[in-house]
Amino acid sequence: MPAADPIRLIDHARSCLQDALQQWSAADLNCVNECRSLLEQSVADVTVAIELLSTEAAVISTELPPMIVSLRRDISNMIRLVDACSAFQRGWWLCRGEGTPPYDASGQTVPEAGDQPARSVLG
Amino acid sequence: MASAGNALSVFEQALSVIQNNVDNASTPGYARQQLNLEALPLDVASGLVGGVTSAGLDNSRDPYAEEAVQIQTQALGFYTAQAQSTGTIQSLFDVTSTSGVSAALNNLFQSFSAWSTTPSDATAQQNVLNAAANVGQAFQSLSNSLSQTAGQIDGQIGSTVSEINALASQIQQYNVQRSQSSQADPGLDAQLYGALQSLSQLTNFSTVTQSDGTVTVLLAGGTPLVIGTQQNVLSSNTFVSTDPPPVYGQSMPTAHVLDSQGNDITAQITGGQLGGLLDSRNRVLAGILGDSQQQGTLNQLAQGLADTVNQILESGTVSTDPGAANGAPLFTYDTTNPATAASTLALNPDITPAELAPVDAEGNANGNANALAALENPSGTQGTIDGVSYLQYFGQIAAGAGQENQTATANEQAQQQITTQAESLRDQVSGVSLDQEATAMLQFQQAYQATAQVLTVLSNLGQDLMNLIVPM
Repeated sequence: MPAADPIRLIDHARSCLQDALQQWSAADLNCVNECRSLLEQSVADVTVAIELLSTEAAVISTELPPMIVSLRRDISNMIRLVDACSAFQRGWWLCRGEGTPPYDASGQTVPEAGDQPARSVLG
Repeated sequence: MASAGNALSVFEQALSVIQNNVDNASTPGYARQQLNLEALPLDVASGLVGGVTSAGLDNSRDPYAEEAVQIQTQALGFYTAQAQSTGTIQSLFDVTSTSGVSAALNNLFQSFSAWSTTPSDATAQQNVLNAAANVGQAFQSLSNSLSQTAGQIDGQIGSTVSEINALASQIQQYNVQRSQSSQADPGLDAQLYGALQSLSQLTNFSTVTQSDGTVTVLLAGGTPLVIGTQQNVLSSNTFVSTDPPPVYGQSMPTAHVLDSQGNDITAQITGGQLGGLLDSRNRVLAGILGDSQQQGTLNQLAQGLADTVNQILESGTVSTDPGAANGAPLFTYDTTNPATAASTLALNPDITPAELAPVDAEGNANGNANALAALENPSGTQGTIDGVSYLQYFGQIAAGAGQENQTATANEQAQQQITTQAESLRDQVSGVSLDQEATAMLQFQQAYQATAQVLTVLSNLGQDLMNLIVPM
């Protein structure tokens, strides 16, 4: 965790996010989980940065706006990437699966799906 | 003996398939083959001797995964072409204000300002004329450069259409051979998927495999590119569209793609390299240089500047003397064709320095000269387009071109990753049965969803940050 300085925090949050973008490997479960940890670190950094910037004494540096715009662009790219991978898996399942796929109408897995063998999930 | 001999023959086939897989490991479009073996019934009493026989070839290709990769490749081709062509457009706008339209406009306003302090000074008058000539040249130069870029993109569109036709021809040839054979041929199959993969970089399409094994390739709007053994040869052309009827009949032609019947199918091409080129040509460039339906921002600026300056000068007189002549217009352009204002803007060839009119319609000695100098930072609506000064409006045009390129480049980078991941997922699921992969797929799906939830939180926090620095 970087020192309690909004600029350093956001810089670190973006660094973690960019590492996640670079390292993301949709077919490697360990890698996906590691990327999630990096994103959780970004969340922690940004949360502290918001707390610091919300105080009355906070001074908004001119460096901040472009950093935040870049951060949001990277978030958007990461969302596109994860959505694309998730959509691929759902589509593949629906094309290959028999019977009811283990997803609800919103595309979420049914709650107990992960704990059950595939066949029992498929019914 | 017979069953053993048969089994040896089948295993020889299996070895041959394995050898083929090894040989073609790097062949584009090739999918691993597997020979299915089937046990033969053994019943000596009935004369059934058992053994194994071949039950046909399976390949590891997953049609869904192939299509998913093709879709992502189409998007990548679009953004790559868009980034390259908007990069060229962007580079034509000088943002340093040391040359080009921006510098010429600055110099013109400075010359107006100097003239307003010494309205009858011949040097100041001549400087106004020189600066106006430079403005005309700068507009013409930029307009010509943009038109040349349009021509280059037209050439790229033409060569891309040729590549598409060549690939469609390969697919059509595949269909000819496939329709003559009852079984799929792995080598032919690899050629087909290689061609489809290459095609997906060039345009958006979908495929349908027919019952006879041939492949129908449809462009996004449903126009067939290949049906069975028939190929629809595409062509490209530039013309002023008449549908809808043109508002600006003499505008810059736009690029079009036609099918073999001459039908305009441009609107169907929304992906791949061809889609990206058409977008840059018919949307980005046309927005600046105009087309049949719009004047174009650069023409709007050229016309607005010329009309305003000319109107001010023509409304005044060259001196305060009674009966003094009215001023002459400073600029000329093709007024019959507003969509070419930028490419025809020039200093009025007939004007002389003495014909500049510093006196306004109310008789103020340098009222007009002051009004012209004030165009640099107008306080009213005169000298503005969409509420901003001419200089700012040109800045917006340049910034718009830069923004187009920035967005396209960012999209290209993001799409590159998505395409790579789609290829990785295709390799993961190809040749895998649902039974084999179901549990793993659920684990992946849950991991993706957990990541998506963290991203949702992060996205909301990003919005909160934005609200903190830009309070609503």
